[in-house]
Amino acid sequence: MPNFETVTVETDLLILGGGMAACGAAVEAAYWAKQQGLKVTLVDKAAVDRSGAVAMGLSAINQYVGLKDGVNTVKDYVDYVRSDLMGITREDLVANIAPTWIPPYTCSRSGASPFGKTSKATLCTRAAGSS
Amino acid sequence: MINGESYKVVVAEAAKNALLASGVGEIFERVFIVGPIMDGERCAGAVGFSVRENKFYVFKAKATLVAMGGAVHVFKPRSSGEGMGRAWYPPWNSGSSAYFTIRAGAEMTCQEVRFIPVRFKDAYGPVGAWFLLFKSRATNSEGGDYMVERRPELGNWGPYGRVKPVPANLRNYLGMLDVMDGKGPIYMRTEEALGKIADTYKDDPKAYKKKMKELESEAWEDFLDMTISQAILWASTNLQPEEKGSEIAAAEPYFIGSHSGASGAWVSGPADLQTKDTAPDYFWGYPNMSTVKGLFCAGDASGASSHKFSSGSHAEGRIAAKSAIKFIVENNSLPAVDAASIESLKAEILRPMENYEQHKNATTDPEINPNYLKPRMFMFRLQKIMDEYAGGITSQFKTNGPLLTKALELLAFLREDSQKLAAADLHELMRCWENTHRMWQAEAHVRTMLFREETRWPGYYFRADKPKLDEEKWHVFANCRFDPKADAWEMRTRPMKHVFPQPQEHEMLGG
Repeated sequence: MPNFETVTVETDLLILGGGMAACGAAVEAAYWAKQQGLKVTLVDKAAVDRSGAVAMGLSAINQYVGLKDGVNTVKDYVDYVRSDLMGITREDLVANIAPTWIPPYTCSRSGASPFGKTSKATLCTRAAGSS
Repeated sequence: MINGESYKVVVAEAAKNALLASGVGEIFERVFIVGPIMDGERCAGAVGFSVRENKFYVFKAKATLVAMGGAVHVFKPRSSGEGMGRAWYPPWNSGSSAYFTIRAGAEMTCQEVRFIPVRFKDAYGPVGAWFLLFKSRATNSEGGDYMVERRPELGNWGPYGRVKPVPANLRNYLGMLDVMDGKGPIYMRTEEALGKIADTYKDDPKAYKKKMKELESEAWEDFLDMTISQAILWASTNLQPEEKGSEIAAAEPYFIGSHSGASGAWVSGPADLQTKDTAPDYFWGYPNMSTVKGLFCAGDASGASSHKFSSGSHAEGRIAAKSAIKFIVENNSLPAVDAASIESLKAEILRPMENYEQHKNATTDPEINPNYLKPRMFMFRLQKIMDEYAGGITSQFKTNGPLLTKALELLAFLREDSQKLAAADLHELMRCWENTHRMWQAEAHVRTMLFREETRWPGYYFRADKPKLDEEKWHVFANCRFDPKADAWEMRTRPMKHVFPQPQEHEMLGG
């Protein structure tokens, strides 16, 4: 059997995967890691450009909630998801994700600082620049 | 070009720029992650190997974020010879997230909630545009519309049968009842739908011709943008959608935390959305952290938060990453990793290559050997068990307690034999571990279907010995956890609590 060299990598945050979730994680982590002086390492079994379900065609951006336009409320959306799953769903998780959806780089729940008060306006400017 | 293929590159570019241009990050591609490393109860990173060079990787981290997708090919796919591997969900998503979180000792949720989409048969072309945009019907061989004829069946499924839109699994189920009654094939009536739209222009031949051309283009583009193989199948079978209908069918089961599936790790919610009632059950410090310290999940890796799709998965990745950074700031020490345990993981992970080297000369055909099995045959064994005992396509998505018990017995033998997996090269080594990951997803699924003594998601699976919805006992989450020390599974329920006031009956009827 061939000899396998052991490569050890030390990091702060390890992101595993290269699909939509991992890419979202990379964008957000990079911002806060820079501020906090931390290192982020992403590992993908293939290549990030074509990883995940989206790259092979499962590109659905379904169920735009339309909060801004007053089309639906987060509760409407949560009710829909719970019913579709026959009454079993984590409403807190669904509601947490819902307002952040489209476009991915606008003001969102994710914009609030985990380390105290950061103005939303600042974060939006940052987010717009990174898209 | 496939739409997703185009826009994923844009999303990837932003991610890569964020990590590399800012100088905070690094990216390793072509490295297959096998499993977690632990420092006691805390996740300490991951181990894996390069699929291009003989390198074993150890990533030591203060927090780990799992986003390696869901699982396909745990069940026997419809495409088992020609076109093998073709499925609705991408074949490279092989259960790595589930394996990682299970082996770290994380509590898993909704492992019984598989996802089965109904798609154009054999090439998995999307049906959404036909049902929603073209207002097409799907009918059986006798011309009956199951959504109309089977409507009374919805009354058997509690309040969920009365909501609009009808839950995905119940829509599946009504079609499956026709198939089980021998009324297949089920056809998407493309010719009828296009004809109806074009009819409105029948008095103006020029406008009619233009409209038909436009509809035809839309019909083909719907596939070419998303599922080229369906367009190829139509072309190769001389199918003109304006002339005749096209078969649709329920796909083989998949495991995803997004879309209308729900399987994944049980993670903490955000603090600010909890009520006094939900907080003790749904919040433990860091949003999207699993029950294992320092282990975060997003996308298809986190459970009970369906309908995320692509942009929702991206959003959840951001939420989880921010939370993980907070965890690191508040727990800023590199976990200790025992060198001996790394060496033993390395030996275990590379064992398939060792098995091959040791025994390859026992036979003249490397595929057949009395001392080892190749990952391809291992996968077929797993898929046969799941298909026949755990409610796959050939058993019409039906199972029962004794069948599931038998599946567990056969899965135990498979797990024993996984020690004899053999890999001739790095690609096969990856296949060995992909299929081991699938096997663990399979076991979590079977155990949870066995635990939940009711049928709640007909159209995904039907437990024939417990054929009814049991709201009183089972309106709860069915969770499981593998205890790595005891090498045993624990099953438990978690309460289903509302963050928002529960809808009244009339609200549900109103949809």
